[in-house]
Amino acid sequence: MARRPVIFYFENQPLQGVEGEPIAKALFTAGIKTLSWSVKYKRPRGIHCARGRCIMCHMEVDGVPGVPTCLAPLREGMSVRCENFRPFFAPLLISAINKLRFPAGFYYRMFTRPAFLRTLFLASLRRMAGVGRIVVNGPRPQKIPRPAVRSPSDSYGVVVVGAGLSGMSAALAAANRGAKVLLVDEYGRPGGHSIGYQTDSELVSQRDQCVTQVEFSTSIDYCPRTTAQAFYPPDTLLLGPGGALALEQTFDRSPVDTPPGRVALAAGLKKVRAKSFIFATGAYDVIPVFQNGDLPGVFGPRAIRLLLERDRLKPGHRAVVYGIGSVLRDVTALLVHHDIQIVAVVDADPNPAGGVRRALPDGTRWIQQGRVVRADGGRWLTSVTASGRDRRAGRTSTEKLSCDLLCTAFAGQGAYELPYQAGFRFELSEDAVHENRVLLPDKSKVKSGPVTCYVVGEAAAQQTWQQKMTAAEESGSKAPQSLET
Amino acid sequence: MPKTILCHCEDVEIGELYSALAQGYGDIETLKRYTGIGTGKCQGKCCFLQTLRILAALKSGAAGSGGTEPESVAAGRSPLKSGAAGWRAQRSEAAGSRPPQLAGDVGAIRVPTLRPPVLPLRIDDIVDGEWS
Repeated sequence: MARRPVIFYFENQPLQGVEGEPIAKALFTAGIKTLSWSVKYKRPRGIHCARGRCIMCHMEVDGVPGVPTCLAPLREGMSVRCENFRPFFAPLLISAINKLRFPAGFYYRMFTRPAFLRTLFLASLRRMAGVGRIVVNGPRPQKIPRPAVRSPSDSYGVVVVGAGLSGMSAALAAANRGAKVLLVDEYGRPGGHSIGYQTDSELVSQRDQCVTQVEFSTSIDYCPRTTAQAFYPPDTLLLGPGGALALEQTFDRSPVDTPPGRVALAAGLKKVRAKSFIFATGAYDVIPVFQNGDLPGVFGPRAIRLLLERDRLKPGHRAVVYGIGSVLRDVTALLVHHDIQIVAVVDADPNPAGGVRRALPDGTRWIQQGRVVRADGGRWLTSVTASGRDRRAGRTSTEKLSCDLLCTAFAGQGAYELPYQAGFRFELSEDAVHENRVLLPDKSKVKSGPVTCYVVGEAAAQQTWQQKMTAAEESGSKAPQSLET
Repeated sequence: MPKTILCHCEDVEIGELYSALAQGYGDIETLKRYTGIGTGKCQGKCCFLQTLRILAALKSGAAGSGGTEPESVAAGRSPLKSGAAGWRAQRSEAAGSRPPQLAGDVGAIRVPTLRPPVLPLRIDDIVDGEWS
């Protein structure tokens, strides 16, 4: 499909972009990197997770507040605005607010006295923090039409949530055992986070094979752009519109005839029942805590893969990579593949003999037993301060590295929400390297009556893709057994 | 001005977490209510694990949030209790700039038991909307 250039408006200023690309990418290409301002300290926020998970890129698009611009596609004549309160004296106000420190629980004590001013305080605080306005009376914002999505049936043998590598493997294994399978995924195309691994050709071929098999399988109903909203034990899953479509779609109530005493769901919501559920919900990026770690230009491993591979957007040219183990190795390889200069690799592995040095390209600056302590920059990252043992110097030192991209590469946080609703409980792994500690489910399956639930993949903190696929296939082939009994 | 932000949605600084801990708000559910961590639009997707990691690091005695020293995890299985005696003693030290020293019997960190969602209707009473 030919992508045509279109004109859109940012704060009434006309800009050019390409139709269908994410709005955030169009803004970035046009030089606008600050997409919003944080609620309390008014710190700059830019594109961050690239998956609609965080709130950093939320903007007002054509009057609709809170649109994740990292996903929402650009259209001709779109009007895009920052959502936050930005008066003409904003720069002054921001520098003043940034010097303040609000103690924990400040809203229980500050701005509550004298009582007669409380309403005024509340109203002005709310305006200053404010994110978004909804036009109550007046023309409704136009809904973004939802691409045709196959409507799922009411009941299935096995429902798989998440069409990443694990989800697809589980769905295929269940379908091979003769079950009727529903595979739902939030996003438009299958594959999840198994994107951006050119260096691992085996993974790429396995993924592509799975995608083809899922799309052609007659016993798998694949529903993209569909979010599993909630799990109601024992056997009901609530489905709704996914990704960037979620907001526009749930505004209106549908004119469905309801029997007395019953209530219709909003348009696009649907209940699905099944005998087995497999949660392959994946994981979120988690950025380590260091000074100014919220600065635009700091990315997690999944975000950087999605930006470079899916959006073809290079968020920087000189990168520092900070991480541990195989994630660090993969992210570095990806950046090298995209011709991004690696300023330094900060390896957080505490083992003096460990680390991924051997996997790094020759001549890469490697800081062993390292740690990023601080990031600096105004609206975008300009430098990173890292401490660690420098092999070249042979001693522990702290150093300021000039760069415009910091890629962190640690294990993420499993998306435990749905499994939690199904009865799984999670605990921190007793990992020696606490920066890499992950949430582990307490059991591999939950059985309530005839219904069995499994959790697989990154949500179960399985690290390598071989592990994920094996576990997913095992759960997938076990799942249909509960149908027979 | 440099700030160490833990929760991006609600702009919660790490110092606020430390001062809340020093004031005796010790488990994740209480911390959510007192500091606002994880109550923003992303509902803890960006900060929840990091908060748990910090709690675990403090419990196992490692000062600071990003130490790379290997650490041992205290044995025991009881979840963190709010207002544990060890933290009460530290209440006067609510400076908020450095990690409080935790004492007393603290066990493994787990995701706490949440209240089940309060629904006005049973799921069976709800019929599907129009799938568009």
